[in-house]
Amino acid sequence: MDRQRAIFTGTVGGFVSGLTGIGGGTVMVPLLTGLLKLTQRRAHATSLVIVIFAALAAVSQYIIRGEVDWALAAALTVSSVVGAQIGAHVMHAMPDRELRLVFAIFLIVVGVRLLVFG
Amino acid sequence: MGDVIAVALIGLVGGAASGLLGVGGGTLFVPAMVLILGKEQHLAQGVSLVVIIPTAISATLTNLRGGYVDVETAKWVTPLAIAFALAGGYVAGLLDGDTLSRIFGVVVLYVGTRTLFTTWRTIRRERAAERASA
Repeated sequence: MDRQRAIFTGTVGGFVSGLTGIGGGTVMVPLLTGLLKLTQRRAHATSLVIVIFAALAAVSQYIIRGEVDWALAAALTVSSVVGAQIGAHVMHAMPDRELRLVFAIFLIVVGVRLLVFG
Repeated sequence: MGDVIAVALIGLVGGAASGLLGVGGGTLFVPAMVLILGKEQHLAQGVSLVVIIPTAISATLTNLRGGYVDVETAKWVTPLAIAFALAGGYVAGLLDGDTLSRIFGVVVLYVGTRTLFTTWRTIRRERAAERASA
């Protein structure tokens, strides 16, 4: 692993995601594949680790301001944890190129959303 | 009852997207909570961030078992990503967020479209090569 590139990825990826308010994964995955040459699958798996810590860091502000509906969060978590298992298993089974294609479509959807709604 | 089903479906689809795409899932959770459940934007963002944590942990446990997590890379990228995300969030408060998001939208759209075309071309070329050798 190229440490300089990893440092660059963390710095730029983190800053852009904080600046635009979109989650780290959308910015991290292309940097992990493009700059650090991870396979698509490893990039998705590694990005999620970063997402855990980034969400932990960001959520405190919302808790302090009282902007969390805990009952709703608990209800959503029940099914989202199951969904995550399905998603991870599909990711493991999917060839790298097809996974790349699906991620590209996701990026286009996010890009259009940002462009239209700001 | 309708709300219970809606919540279950939003969680399931958002969680699956998160596990498959390696993203938090906020892109899906936040608009779904605002548009389908009628929640206020800030509250939806707060709830989304809370839900993202166990969701990403759930997928990561499976990814770790599969050996897909590049631990060394995560160790180097994560601390900087968090520090600079906080810095980025601070700077965002000083700037016009809407314009910034739109500019970034163009960049994401470009990266997505380019990836789509190059990957599609590679897949087609490989399939043609397979057919030729068959």
